[in-house]
Amino acid sequence: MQSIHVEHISKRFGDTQAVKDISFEVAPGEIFGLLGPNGSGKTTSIRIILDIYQPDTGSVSILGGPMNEAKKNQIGYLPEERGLYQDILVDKCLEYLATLKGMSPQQIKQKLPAYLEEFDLSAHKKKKVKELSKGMQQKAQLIATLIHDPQVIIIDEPFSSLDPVNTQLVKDILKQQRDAGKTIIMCTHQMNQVEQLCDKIVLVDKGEVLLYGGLQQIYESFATDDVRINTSMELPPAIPGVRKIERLNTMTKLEPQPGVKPQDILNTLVSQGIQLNAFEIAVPSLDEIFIKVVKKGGADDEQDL
Amino acid sequence: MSKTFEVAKYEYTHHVARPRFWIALLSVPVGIVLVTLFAVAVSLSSMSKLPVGYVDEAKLITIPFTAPEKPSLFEPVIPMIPFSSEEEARASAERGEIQAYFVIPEGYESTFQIKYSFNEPLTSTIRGQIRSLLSQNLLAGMDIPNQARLEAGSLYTLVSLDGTRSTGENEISKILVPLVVGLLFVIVVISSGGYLLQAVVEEKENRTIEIMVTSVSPNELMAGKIIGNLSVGLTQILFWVLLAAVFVLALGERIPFLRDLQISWPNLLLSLLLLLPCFVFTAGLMAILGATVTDSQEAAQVTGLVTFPILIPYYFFSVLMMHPNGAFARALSYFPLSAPVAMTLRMAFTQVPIWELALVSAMLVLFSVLVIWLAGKAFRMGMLQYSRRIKLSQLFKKGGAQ
Repeated sequence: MQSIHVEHISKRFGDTQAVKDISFEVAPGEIFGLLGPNGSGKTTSIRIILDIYQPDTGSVSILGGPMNEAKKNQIGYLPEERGLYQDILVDKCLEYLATLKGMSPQQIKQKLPAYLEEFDLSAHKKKKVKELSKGMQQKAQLIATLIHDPQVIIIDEPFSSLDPVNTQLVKDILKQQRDAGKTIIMCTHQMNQVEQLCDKIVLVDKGEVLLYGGLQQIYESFATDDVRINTSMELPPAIPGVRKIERLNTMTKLEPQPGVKPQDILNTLVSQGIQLNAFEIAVPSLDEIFIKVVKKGGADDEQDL
Repeated sequence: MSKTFEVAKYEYTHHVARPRFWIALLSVPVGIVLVTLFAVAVSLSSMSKLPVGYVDEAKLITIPFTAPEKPSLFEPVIPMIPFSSEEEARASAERGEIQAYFVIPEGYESTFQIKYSFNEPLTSTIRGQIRSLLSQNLLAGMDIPNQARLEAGSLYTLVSLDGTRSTGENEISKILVPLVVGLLFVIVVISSGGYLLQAVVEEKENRTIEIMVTSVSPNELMAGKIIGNLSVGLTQILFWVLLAAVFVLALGERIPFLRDLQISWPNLLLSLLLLLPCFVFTAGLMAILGATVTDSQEAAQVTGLVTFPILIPYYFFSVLMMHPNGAFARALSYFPLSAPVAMTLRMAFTQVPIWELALVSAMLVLFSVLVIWLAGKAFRMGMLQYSRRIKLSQLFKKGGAQ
């Protein structure tokens, strides 16, 4: 059963069509990437899921039905526009936000110290929020998102302002949450994080879905017979069966002619006595897929994979 | 409901913990005490405390003047010294030992005239003491019940022929009580409403709104904020009332105004009943303004839009006093923002019909509910428009909040 079922939602603000006929599903135990360039309609879609906005058309089912007040306690949300009460102590701020998520004082007393410890904020709990660095505030906000053990976690750019150590910490926590069966929607521009974390993605641009499906399926659908090699030798200007040679930073990308397979190119290189340090199928990165699809500008219809 | 309570609790404790709350709370009584002390000091320093002599040629005084047990703080008791002759009294006055003397001539019982010779002019305190000395001695030995009441003289009540207006000896206290009640209301509304406005704007500035509305409904949030801030205001009023009660109990009999103060408790209760929904209404308006403006600076500028109408009855005080049932006075007492003060003042000057009070109360409750609903809508609408102002007309559009 899907935790989140978004069905043909559309939303217009004045003359701007923010979201147009977007549909997707997210299952429990899944990290779902909601991707798109700035102004593509990601945040509007999230706000519709959270019932902050009502869609003009379409519907959203979350945890088995429409959003209601009781379900708010089962949702953890880290918005793009970060915000904590600046003028109060860190622990008081987190206690208050946890209370609004239905936690009792006893539950908070039990869980908050552990979270503060995990996020290395124990020493700062008696500071005012405004005295924390941006990264620390981000961690405090993540605690507010997770402390009430929500079934659905919606996080917008969770790694912004975090150093590599804390980025890894958050990634580990998100994986733990997924393994615990939580439903996670993540908005981010950091494609390397999406590649490492997401099971499924939807790519939206100008309010429309351009790409939707499992990450592995998407890679496969964008896969080509291009190969990447690394050699310490000088390559000849032309290689039989190769139509284009492109020098990258440490690698060289070879685009085969139609009908030529990577195995054929390997054989050719070996037969020419070229010593290879590395030879790999050039699977496109998510960055490349993202740019390719967005640049196409949705000229083609949505690719539902 | 519990989340409304949690929001209210947070708002209350958050504001009460702030130094500016305590400054606002203590500044009023401290200010009153300082002004009172200043008035007492000025009053005492400007009055001569030298004794006043008297010459009793009529042989009337058998009971010497005795100072009251609880003299007024503002007027010191002047000792009264008997002299055997006017020459002796004059000589004493010339030596600066007494500030004045008066002579009760022979035949006083038929003329009721006395002569007052002075270095310092006759003050109301001295006049009262002379009157008291004479009446005590004139009435001495007579079996008259309620002698003190007889000394005070008659109290007049003037009633207009149509029975709608009346006035009496303590008219000043009838006016001052509603004035003070209205003033307290204005102070509380401006301070608490200001807190509320600030709280809503801060939430926009802090970007906490999105977190809040995914935890509580906008209506729960607004209701919590209004209840929290209303409680802050009521705490202020309660503190001041308790302090005033302690003050009156301790010193009431030594301050002439408080000694003679007559409070119309039904009117006071009615005023407070009007204040409550009006406070909610005002708080709701403040919340709407907070949701529609972009930052705290702009919020401070627009506060006047709400607070000015509350003060309007004071600007037209004389109109309300002269024509408490006139069209203008009625209009002010029907307009939700000016209603509590205007109606309170009208009740002081005239007998306001019950149906009017019921109508205004019902109207205020209705407007309060409407404004809370609109505040929730404005909040929902304005919360994500961080740098944009909302037009009030948008609030009334169907579905405009989303």
